[in-house]
Amino acid sequence: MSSNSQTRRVTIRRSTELLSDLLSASGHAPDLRCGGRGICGRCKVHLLSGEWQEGERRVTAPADVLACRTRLLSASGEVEYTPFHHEGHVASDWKAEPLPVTEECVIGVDIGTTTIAATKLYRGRIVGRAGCFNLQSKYGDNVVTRISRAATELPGLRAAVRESVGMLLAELGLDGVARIAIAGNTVMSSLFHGVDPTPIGTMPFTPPVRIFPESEWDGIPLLTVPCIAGYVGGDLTAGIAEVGLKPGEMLVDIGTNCEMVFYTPEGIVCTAAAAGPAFEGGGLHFGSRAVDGAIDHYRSATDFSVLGGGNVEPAGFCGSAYVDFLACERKCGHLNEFGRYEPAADRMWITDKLFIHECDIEQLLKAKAAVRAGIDTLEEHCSCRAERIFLAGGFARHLALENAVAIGMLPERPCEIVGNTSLAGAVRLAASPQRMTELIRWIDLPREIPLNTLPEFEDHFIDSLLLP
Amino acid sequence: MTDFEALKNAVIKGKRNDVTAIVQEAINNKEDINAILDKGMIPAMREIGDRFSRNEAYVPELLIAARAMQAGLALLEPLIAASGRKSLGKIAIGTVKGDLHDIGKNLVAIMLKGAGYEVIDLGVNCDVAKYDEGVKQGAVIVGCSSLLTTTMPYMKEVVEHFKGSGVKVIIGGAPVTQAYADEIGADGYSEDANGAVKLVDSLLKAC
Repeated sequence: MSSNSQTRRVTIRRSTELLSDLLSASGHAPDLRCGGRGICGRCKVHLLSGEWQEGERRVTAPADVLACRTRLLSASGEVEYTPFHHEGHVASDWKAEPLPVTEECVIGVDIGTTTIAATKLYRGRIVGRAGCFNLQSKYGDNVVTRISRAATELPGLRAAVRESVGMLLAELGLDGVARIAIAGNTVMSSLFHGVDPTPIGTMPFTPPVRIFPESEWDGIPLLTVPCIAGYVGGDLTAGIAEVGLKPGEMLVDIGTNCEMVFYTPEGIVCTAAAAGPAFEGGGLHFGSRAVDGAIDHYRSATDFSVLGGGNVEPAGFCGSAYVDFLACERKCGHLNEFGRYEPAADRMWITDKLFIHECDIEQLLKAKAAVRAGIDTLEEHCSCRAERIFLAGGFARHLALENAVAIGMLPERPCEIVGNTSLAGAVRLAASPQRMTELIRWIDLPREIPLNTLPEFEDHFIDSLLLP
Repeated sequence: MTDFEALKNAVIKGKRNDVTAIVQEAINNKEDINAILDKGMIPAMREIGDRFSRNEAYVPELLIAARAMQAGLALLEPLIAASGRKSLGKIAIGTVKGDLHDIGKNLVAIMLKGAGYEVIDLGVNCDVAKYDEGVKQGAVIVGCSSLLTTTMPYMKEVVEHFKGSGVKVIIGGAPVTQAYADEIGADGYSEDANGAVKLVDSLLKAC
């Protein structure tokens, strides 16, 4: 029985299992974004009755505990919590060349660390779209945590991502489908195929497999977009092929990991910068993914827009709204260059329930600095300036470019938001399997530059922390 | 005579060029190195660290102040060595094997220097032999940093290597927690760079 549509009340009977495992098994997992390591605090539940043990500590209800650290001691106990949202807006559109017109019906799938999107194509027309969250999220919210879990739980990780993909394929219908193609970062691609991604976890971050052999899904041929490097995967291969990257152009995919591919006169270079989960709402007081109720654009504390329309009560902020917030409040003098409120305050209230804390701003500044420092370091290292920047991925889709430039996250250049080019590339490969040759040619072109080995990266990072 | 208040403010505000100018002028005037450190640089770094601990300053301000501090220290370091000044203690610090992320580690190193410690920076991708080199150079505390969940487990090897040797091993970095430090038997953990200074203060006081 739940007290409202979001929270859930559950009675647990005698069990020695972790509370988080019991709740997950009920089909309504709490938010386990740190992988159940007890550090993100997102799986907090309210104990209504019973005797419990959280870590080493004995707890008597009523109390708040982390589900991933807690076990029941008494015969039964009741808890109340908010399950993790598995609904939301999954980016499944893009800006690219028209798709090939063939007689075959095919499906392309973009496997992201957080979300998965699939599109069905028939005679050059999109006849179905589906999206979901990656069920692997219960193993942690970022690829590095997934790699570390793979050491002991590879079969579970493989099953989780395949279950997610399977749901989408079932939704789109596999009848008459001639071919499926998938694109994803190197870790997702490896886990999908049951390949242990452990080598990607430590220096020199070498991917175990870059070119995956053709396989099958329910007897249907399945192709995988090949990967470039450990942290520059098939999603980027698809992206550079989709935009047809040319000299002077850079493709940037902003996510927890921000990947960049830059075509210089001396060849193509690529890199990845750890931006952290802030743009996806992670680690912030009211951070949110793009779900109904999330504020997606902000002009002032009295003027903002909410996803899902005017009748929905605002419940959080998307990354794009935070970017708007920094730009607007800096411009009108409520924030100084260090991202501190003026006059001094620790938080600013936006609605009677939601605020943005200076700690949130700190996380956002670190994230935007990683993106900008990555771009600046690549340009400086190559002694070459990008004349045009393509922005791929779900976060960029909602981004107000002028605000991203105003806060110094992006340089002032012609920028184009290209959407989910990973999905576009997967669909195109499914429709034209001969394109594999071209994709394989692309993956050998970029030379990987580890940013942290370049001394100028730290300097650029610190410079980029400031709000211009 | 150096305006120590101006030097302190320049460090706290992160004004790298001002710090360089004031320190260079003090050096040109052959002023007492100890005074520049003890009345200017060290109190400044302690103050920004304390503000950070009280949530009155955040990582961006800390990094910018640390960079200004580093610019001043770079000018002073040769003179410190020549002056025979006794440091509060020697610490070797490095990012663990398999990892090359070093911004956090560098910040801890500068904060420790700013607090009056001598720091041997071992760089990134440090194996046990590398940490040993630091100890051979006189370090009594070894600091291990890691950004990746996948490289963190190497800290256990470092802790085990130094077990019983008298060398203390302290750990930190994004995925690291106090619980992990306890699990592997590290001598200390800190959540942030200023906490690392306090941790070293307390460990060396106990010696």
